[in-house]
Amino acid sequence: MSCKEAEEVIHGYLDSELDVVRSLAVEQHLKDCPGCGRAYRERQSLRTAIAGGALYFEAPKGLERRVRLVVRQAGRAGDRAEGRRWRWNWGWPGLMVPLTAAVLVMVLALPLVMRHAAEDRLAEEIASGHVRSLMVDHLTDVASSDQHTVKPWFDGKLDFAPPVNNLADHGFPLVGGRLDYVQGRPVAALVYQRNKHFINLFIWPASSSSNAAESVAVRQGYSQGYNLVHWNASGMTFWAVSDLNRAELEGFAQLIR
Amino acid sequence: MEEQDKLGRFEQSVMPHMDAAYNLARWLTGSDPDAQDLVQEAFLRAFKFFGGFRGGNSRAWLLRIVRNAFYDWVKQNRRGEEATPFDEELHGTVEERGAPDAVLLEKADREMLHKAIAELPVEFREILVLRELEGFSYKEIADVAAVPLGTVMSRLARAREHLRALLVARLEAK
Repeated sequence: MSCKEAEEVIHGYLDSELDVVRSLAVEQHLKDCPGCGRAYRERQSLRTAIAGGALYFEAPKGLERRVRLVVRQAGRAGDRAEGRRWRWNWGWPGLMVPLTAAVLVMVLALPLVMRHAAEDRLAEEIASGHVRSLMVDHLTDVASSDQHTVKPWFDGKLDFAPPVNNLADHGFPLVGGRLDYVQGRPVAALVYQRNKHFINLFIWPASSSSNAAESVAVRQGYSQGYNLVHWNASGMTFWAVSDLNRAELEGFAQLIR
Repeated sequence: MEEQDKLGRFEQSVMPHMDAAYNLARWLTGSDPDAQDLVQEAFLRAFKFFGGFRGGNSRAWLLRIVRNAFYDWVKQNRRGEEATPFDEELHGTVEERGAPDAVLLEKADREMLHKAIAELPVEFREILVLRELEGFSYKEIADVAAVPLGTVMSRLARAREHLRALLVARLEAK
């Protein structure tokens, strides 16, 4: 083995990553060649210095607790979703008992009940998304008050183009945008600010089955202490969430609409 | 039920790698608060994708997520310098080795080592952390850092040469 060959694989030798044949060849060369032997020892001493340098950062005490908490929260959110779905599946056959009137009422009422339950769950998910965006210091992926920066940023990241407007003139400056996940799909999250309050506006295409019909119906709600406003417009579903008071949030929603 | 199960399995197989995740995040970001946020984000992602984890090396799997989360974070929040694509060639040259440094290198203390590693380009830093601190094999490093196996050794060689040169310069100046 030549010095050049040895030099090429010396790190593999140092890391015990060579096969036996090459490993033996390097070993022999290091014995025979003082220059390469010296270079090898130097590399060994660098490794020794690193290994003995106490360079490993152990996680601070509070971090594990904090992470465990948010992961459990994420787990619980998923669990609730599971539970609800489960109940509907059982609910259907139970409601099919041959009491015609009851059936009729139920069949008419059930989609409404289901939609409300689904909406509650969604509202929870939206509120959680809002909390998380504030908590992990991950409010925006693209920080800009310029709608012409924020809108193209979503290109290629989403299969739809969310409408982006800067409402600074109305006291709701655009802060930026972010990709988020709601109901297992990537959605656009636009972030606006009102004084010291942040507003997350989640946008994704409205599913044709459930709520395309109520294209302008507006719902207001409250989840985990946050106000929510929800509406559908031009094929998109919108959810605005904030700790802002309801009247101002509704005013914001009107501006967007 | 299923979700509880998932949480249980996650806590058992992924949570124990908290130190590894933090260590990598700390070396990549260079700051404790950033590292903590990155770790939290990475664990949330890991939990989300845990259903797709087919078993095997959960530490390498988690560290890949930490690394990806870091590069996303760099792209989004940070000055552009670290986001510029890494040029193997540009960082490939280092001055010829001179006198034997073996004895000299042993004098490098923690602070000096820490500073020198922190100054390396992030691609060198991550590969050194994975190899020297995490003790990963080349195969594991290739998986985590998303580079071909052949690149691992050459990049590791360059990283070590750079580190050596930095340390030698400082030790000699002392």
